[in-house]
Amino acid sequence: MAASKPPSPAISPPSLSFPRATFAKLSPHPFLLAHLQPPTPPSANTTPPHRPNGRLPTQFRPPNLHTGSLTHASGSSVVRLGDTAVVCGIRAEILPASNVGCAYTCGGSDDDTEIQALGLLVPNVELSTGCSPAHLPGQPPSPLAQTLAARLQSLLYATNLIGADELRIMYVSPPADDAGEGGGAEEVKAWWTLYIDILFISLDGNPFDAAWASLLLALKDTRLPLAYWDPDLACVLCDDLVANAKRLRMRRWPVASTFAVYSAQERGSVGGDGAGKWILADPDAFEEGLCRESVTVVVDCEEAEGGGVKTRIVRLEKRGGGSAGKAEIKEVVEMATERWRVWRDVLKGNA
Amino acid sequence: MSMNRKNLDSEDTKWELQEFVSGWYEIPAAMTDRRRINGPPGGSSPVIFASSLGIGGRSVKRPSRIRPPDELRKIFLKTGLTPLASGSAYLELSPSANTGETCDSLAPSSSALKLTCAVHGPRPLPRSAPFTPQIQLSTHIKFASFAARQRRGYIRDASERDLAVHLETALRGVIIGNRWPKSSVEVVITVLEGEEDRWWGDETGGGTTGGSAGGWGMMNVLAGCITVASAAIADAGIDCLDLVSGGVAAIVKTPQSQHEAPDRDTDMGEIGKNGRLQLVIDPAPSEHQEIYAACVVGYLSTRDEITELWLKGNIPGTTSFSTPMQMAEVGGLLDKAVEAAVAVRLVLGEAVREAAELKAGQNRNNKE
Amino acid sequence: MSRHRVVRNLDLDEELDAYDGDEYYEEDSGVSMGDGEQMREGLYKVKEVIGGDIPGVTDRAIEEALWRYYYDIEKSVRYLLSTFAPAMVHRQNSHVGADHHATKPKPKPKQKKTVEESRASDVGRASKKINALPSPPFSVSCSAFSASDFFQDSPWLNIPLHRRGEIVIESLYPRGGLMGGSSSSTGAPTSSIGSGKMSKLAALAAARKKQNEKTAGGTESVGRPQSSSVNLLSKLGQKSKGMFEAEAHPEQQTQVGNDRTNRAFDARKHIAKRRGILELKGPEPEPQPEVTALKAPVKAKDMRPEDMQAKPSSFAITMLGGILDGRTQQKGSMIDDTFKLPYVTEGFTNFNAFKGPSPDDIVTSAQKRSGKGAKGTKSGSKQGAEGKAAKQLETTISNLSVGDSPLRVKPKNLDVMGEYARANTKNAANFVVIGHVDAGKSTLMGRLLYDLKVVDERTIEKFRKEAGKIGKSSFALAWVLDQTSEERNRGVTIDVAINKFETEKTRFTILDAPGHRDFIPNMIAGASQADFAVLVIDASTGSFESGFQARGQTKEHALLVRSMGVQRIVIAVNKLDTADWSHERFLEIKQQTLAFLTTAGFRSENLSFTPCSGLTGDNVVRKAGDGLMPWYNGPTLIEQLENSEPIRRAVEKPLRMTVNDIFKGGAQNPLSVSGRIDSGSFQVGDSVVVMPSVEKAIIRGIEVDQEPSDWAVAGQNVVLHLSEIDPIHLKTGDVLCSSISPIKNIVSFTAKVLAFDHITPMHVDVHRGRLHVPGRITSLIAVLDKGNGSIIKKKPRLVPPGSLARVKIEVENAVPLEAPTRVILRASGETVAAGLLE
Repeated sequence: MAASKPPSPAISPPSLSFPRATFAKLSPHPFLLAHLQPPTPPSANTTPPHRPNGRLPTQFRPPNLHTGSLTHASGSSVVRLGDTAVVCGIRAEILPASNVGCAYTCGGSDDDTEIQALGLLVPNVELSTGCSPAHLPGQPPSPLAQTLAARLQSLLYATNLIGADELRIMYVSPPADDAGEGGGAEEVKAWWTLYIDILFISLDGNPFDAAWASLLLALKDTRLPLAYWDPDLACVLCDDLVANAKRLRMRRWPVASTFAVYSAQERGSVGGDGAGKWILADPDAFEEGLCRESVTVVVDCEEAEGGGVKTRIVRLEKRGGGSAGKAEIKEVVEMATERWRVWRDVLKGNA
Repeated sequence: MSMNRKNLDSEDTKWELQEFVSGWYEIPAAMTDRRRINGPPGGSSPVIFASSLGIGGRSVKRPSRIRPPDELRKIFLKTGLTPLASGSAYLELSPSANTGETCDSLAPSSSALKLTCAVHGPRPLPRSAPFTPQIQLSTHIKFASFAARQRRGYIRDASERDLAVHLETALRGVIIGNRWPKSSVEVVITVLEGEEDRWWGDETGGGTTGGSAGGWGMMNVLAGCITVASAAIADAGIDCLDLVSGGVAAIVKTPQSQHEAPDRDTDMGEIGKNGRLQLVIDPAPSEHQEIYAACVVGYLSTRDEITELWLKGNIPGTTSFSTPMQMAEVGGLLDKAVEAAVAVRLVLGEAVREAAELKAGQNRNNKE
Repeated sequence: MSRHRVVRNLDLDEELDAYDGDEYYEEDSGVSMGDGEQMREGLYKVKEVIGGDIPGVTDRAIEEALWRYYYDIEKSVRYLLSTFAPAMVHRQNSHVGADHHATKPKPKPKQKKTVEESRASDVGRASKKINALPSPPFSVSCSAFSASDFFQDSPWLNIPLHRRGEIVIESLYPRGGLMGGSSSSTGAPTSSIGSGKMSKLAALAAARKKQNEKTAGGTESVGRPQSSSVNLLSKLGQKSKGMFEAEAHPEQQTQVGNDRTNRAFDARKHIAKRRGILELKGPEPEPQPEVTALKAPVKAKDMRPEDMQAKPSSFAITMLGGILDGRTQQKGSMIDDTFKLPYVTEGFTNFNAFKGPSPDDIVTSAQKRSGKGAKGTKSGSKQGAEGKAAKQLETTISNLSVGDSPLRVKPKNLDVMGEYARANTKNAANFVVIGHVDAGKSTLMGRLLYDLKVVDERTIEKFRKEAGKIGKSSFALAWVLDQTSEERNRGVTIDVAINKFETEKTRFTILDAPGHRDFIPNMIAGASQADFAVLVIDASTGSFESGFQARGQTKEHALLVRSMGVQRIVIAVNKLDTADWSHERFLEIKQQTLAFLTTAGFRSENLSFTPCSGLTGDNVVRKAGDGLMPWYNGPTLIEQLENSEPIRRAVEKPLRMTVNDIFKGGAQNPLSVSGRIDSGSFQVGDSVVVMPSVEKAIIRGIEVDQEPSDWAVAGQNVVLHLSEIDPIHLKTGDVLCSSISPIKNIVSFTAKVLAFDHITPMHVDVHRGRLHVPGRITSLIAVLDKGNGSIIKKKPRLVPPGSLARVKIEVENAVPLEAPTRVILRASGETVAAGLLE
């Protein structure tokens, strides 16, 4: 009764040629190359070269998302890009001012510094959910998980999506009875702390984009209950009415898109120029395994008048190699902008 | 605390200890988790709802079970959720219908169980490992930090390990282990959304939590874990004797008001003057004010065998299981649990079947 | 019999009630056990057994129903009683009839009674029965029937037919199920509760039967079987067709089926009965009825999967993505599924693994170039990333995220080379002092320092006194170097003592290596950092020979420093005063030593001999007292040291620094390491990679010779203050290297070694400076000629002492080693070989 995995086709192929699975396993690099290289001589049906996963080199996986489905999370989202599935849940907790060591004086000016200094945004990435054979539970978070979390956090702070005032819980002490003054002083009694936990349900390459997207969606979905300082109990109480809860307001919507740079030189011999190199958008695990160089662009655009968009590069991370030059980067940013459009549309549809 | 874990599963204990020394153990504030991003050093406190304290005008009313006592919540089960794993499955219980009046609250009273399971293996053991004639089965169950009303830690706590051991006993008997000597298989379950141990309104006052034995919700979770795990194992193509399915039944107190004509099957006599003992299958703890006893079985329905049996609680008025009355009730409870398992088995069978058909179809495509 | 039971039950209070209930249930489960026998008797006359038993069975059922009811709730009991009385009568007389059909009618009730009485008080019997239950059915089913089982059952006879099925089905299950086949845990309680419920329904049926005439009963009997069979079908979806037929058919003809059907409420029991009948009567295929049955909408509704399956929530839909509608990503389905071999189709001709230099060449060349300039760096890192690309990706990412971290030290971006050139450094020299134990190395060095006023008079005086106290006044000078109390008490150097002194020409660093054989590793550690060596030879009669014989350390040390890459040796013939400065002695020692050292591979022009006496200090710094050595007019020891030509540093190479010690360098420097830079250079703010744990660290501060500095180059002994690294990732022997071209961690390598002892494939400790790991020589590749390195003998079975060999070595855990590195192989506390990694 146990359903069995499809075995690699056992039919003996004609000599000098492999079945797909075998080839991929046997020599992945030529396998990928065979897909990317235009068929020579160019055959009659000039289909553009596809990647093994059936996408065009510059084609992203369509985002597939849903928010607000977890009961116990203040905000939650699930994002699936192809075979990479991520669940993000945000748990809002209250950080009483008494727990903050230095009496923190909040001016409206130092928003980002305030959030960062207090550490009000706590993203963590959980890879050991069996999402891929590489990450098994029972072990401390893998370097990948740690770096992902670190990158997410730094990006969160860099983009300061959320104003500190969103997270403050103020208290206006009632004016003293006889004279009007003496009261009305507004002070911060507590802050909201957002514990952002990102679980990878399935990991097939490009974890950062998925994680970042899910994080944003979850933030967008987050509803902070109406919280007030109760002087009698000397603690912060909340109202569980949805009506009174306020959604987190996000200032902007930066979108991360990752590209892998694949060069035909398997061992990347000295001058990598001879053979071609491809920029693969949104690489999957198989491709990530073969590409050493990768670029992550985080862009944040505003619709300019006249339909066009004004692109702002929030962050540009480039790792492991120098084959992608100015031109490529430019191209990549273009694609990232496109990607931003896609996300915007998806969100419009979603919201 | 890593000590009392040792007797649960040793190789995890090793990790525990390693975690301990390497200092990413998170519970004590002293040793902060170096490998994760920690919250504010001062530590933050969970949200307190005024209504749960009775402060504020509105009070929330407890949800009540409107399903008939022998009807399960609807189950959604699907395999193949994690393509990179050799087998995987996702199980979801549709929340019971009575969310109507609580939906305006940020703390909805009914939650839907959501489980994902990934199976890795069978894979060869490391060369260094000693020879094992049977496949080495290891189970991990982890609650997501947002799975429950209280935020869960990142390190598996005692209850999660306890569940994992229960699950392992339920599965070990089903897998035909001796077909894979010198190999191991990992069953990893992530609880995205758990079952509550009681209605959250009771947390401040009243209600039973299942006492020291741990929450009642755990039993539902375990049943779910068993089902989803066997689906994933089937998806991984690991030979089993049968599909093991988990079923829960409980003896609860229902107000006299509900069903004036007590159902003969499930009614178990009066308790007090305004309540009846009732046998229900698939109880949602938040729907019942009192749960006296509950029972989980891992059940092979075509072989009529039980691989896992977890029974706890007590019937008011009787002290031990020794008296015949009690014995009979345990029987009834067991029977109901098995009944639930048999029902779940059908869904399980469906899911596995269609997955198999799908794969068969793909194979055919590959062939052509 | 059950009449009086009824009466009794009427006026029973709760718990006695319960008590009874169990009794009966005890009894008839007993009955069900007895079934096996009854069945065997019946097996050849199935037909009339059925025919005959029908009324009997129904009555029995009703009778049971009664008992059950007591055992159930009181109210329902009364309710049933009202409907019961007539049925009771009916049962009474027909009961007898039924018994007549059975083979041994009379004894049964008695037996039953006795059993009841005898067991009445037994509390634990329920459980006992539970254990008892499964086994007999097994024996029944598993065709081989054992007499013991038979007799075990014997007291429980006169079985109601409707119980048989259960037995047989139980028996159908394979033996030795998990947890005792579970029939123990479920079966028994099930039967108790179950039969109770059945009988309830049965009673209902009976009541109706009284009221309605046969036809109505008939319709019911048509109606109910359907329900049952539906139950069946839906419940055991996996059952075979034949099964169904068998299950379905019996209802049709008899009341038995009828009642049975009504009672059916649980999949298992249901199957049980059907199978049971099947057993008894053999199949009468009649598929027709259960086809109609399929349509009957009865309580089975919650038993159809589609009723229990939920629609996927939008959460699920999203998370499952394409998988949900079966559209798993059919990878590149638009491309044909087979591929031409690479390298033959000219699609791949441009892609040829063997074109261009081999990967290793690339790596090495890249590392060579990576020393200078950004361009080199890039490609260097690219090559460095060779091999496991994914892992490399991670590390690069981690580097990147570390870079983001706030408390980063700003690099000054100095041009270190320029600084180094500008800094008018005296040429610095590290030398290791070696020699046989008690050759007076420490004393000689002490003298050196003392005469150069590195240590002042007072300390020496102090040492003199203390030494005098423990009667080792001659050690006073040695204590300048031997500082730990143990060293002083034992009078031997244990750890490498580092001292510095300057002459106007040169800045020297003394590495006073221990002579004692127990501390060879330390000696190796010292030698690995030395530019040249000072071999101290004890000229006093006897001890020179003892130091020079087979196992004396003089030879071993010499070989060691040689294999550690030390080219030049200054031989100090010490303690010549004890040989009253005789020239002959000096010459004898000289020529012996020279002979040995030259054979050991030292070039004679790199050897210089100096007679001296550490104790008196003659010819160490100051010329010997006049008249002592008329025959010698060479340079003093210190002059010899200065003559050692300046050593050119490998500053251009990528950074390598072996960690010699790890300590807490004060409050603001939680983590500091010391060691000598083997090659390359760095400056404050640089980030280095620690091997073998591929961990990143930032250099917060540098101390060269106890003075803080902004940069350091190869050859200097430095203290580094690191940050952003977890101490658990650091240990002595680790290698700090540039993140641009990190050193590789290897587990196996080939080395050209000079054997000091017989070498076979054996376990050895591999030493490289402080780093030492257990490993083993896996294969002896060849014995080489000492002179030109040509192969003399391939695959020798063992390598004799003193010969040069190429061996393959595997270490247990990966260590940062790269060619050319000097390694020492030691086994059981002795150095068996030393050589060069290839």
